Amino acid sequence: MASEKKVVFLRSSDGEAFEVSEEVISAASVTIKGMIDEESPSRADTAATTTLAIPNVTAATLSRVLHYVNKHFDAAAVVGRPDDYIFCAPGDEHPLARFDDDFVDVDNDTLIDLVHAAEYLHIKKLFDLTCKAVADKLKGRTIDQIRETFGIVNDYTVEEEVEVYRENSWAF
Amino acid sequence: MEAAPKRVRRGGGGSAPDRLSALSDDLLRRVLSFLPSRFAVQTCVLSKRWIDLWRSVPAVQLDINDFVGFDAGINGWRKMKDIANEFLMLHSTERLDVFRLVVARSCRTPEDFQRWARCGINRQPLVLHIICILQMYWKDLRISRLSSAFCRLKRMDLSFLSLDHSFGDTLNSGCPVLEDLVLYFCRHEFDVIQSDTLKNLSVDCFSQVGDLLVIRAPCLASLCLGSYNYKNCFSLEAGNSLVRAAVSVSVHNGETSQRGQTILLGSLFNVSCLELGGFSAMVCLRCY
Repeated sequence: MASEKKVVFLRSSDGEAFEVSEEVISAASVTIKGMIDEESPSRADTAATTTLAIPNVTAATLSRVLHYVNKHFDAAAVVGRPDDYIFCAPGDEHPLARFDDDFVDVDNDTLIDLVHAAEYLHIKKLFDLTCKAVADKLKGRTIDQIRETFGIVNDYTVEEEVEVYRENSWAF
Repeated sequence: MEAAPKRVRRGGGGSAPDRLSALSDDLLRRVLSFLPSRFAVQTCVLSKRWIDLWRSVPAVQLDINDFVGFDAGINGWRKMKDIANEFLMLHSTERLDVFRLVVARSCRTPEDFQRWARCGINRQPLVLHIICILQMYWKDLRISRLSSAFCRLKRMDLSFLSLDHSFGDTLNSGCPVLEDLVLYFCRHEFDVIQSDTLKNLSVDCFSQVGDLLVIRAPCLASLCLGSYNYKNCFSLEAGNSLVRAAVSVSVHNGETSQRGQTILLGSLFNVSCLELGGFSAMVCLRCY
């Protein structure tokens, strides 16, 4: 095998191709690692780089995902295990905590696109991060505010809604 | 790069579609698992889509801090007690990803605390946090007859708890996949922490039985040790994988033996990132 860094291209649903290090994306995404492993026998003897179709993810989302992946999974950029937050002394922040906060500080549509992409690509850390970010958007809001924020249509009749409130009154 | 292509919306009826409710049950449960359990329940009134989701959320999050609106004292505690009892009765997930229980000094009934903790542990969580913000009051955590419930546990974070012998036994032989362990200001009656799977360990505790804490963890990668009460320090048996360590011994406890310190430092042979606190200069000079 050549010692130079291997790359793969990921083609988004809308046809844009993104270059990423094979090593980095394999460490991040279980789905893509599986695709690469399937491809490998057929390309072992060719110099051609692989292009993988990612049919469920748009270019806009994919570029964000790759930004995250390069930040979190590039061993050259991350010293030690990226998960060793436990080591941090109390009060210390995980070095990427700030990046993560900014990364999910996006509008609802973008965030839900990221949730879907993280699920499809099987990137657990990103999946947890984005699901938590959705939860944070629910937190501290009243029921009406949540409905408004996400466009949730209240399809209970008045009687039904009163009944649901009554049944779960202990939680309010 | 951020120019998202215009999405063609189905229906085209003007208002934005509810993409949140359109997520699968699994995804929504995952989202709800990050909320305090009380808020997860409250989502049931959003719309019919949400009515029963909270019952199968794979997490229980009961934190006194989520009840401070009722004041941090006795009222907050009463509300938490009502909700915890009701929630744990109606919530129907047999296996949890996360069980998180945080109580404070206002926790007046240890038997409730004990019951909730056991109930959570019994659902075989992957991640377990039990934290008492008590300061100088320790709650017992008794896990007798629950030892098999730790079989899936990957991360455990315990603060201000009294941990007895049987806890030590479970920790050392009943946690086959435990990777992260944080014991903060716990009083423990065991003097050995032993694990073949542990990768990250943080201990800052009080021993009830001896002056020495023995740590045997061949796969340990990072270690954070603090001591107030281990006169003879720690005995550490880790392997080459241990590369990060932060160790402080008690500054004001002159009894911490220099020999103990020397041995401890010697066992950090492969550590490339090291923070030390409280070690005597002589010990450091001898080792390096």
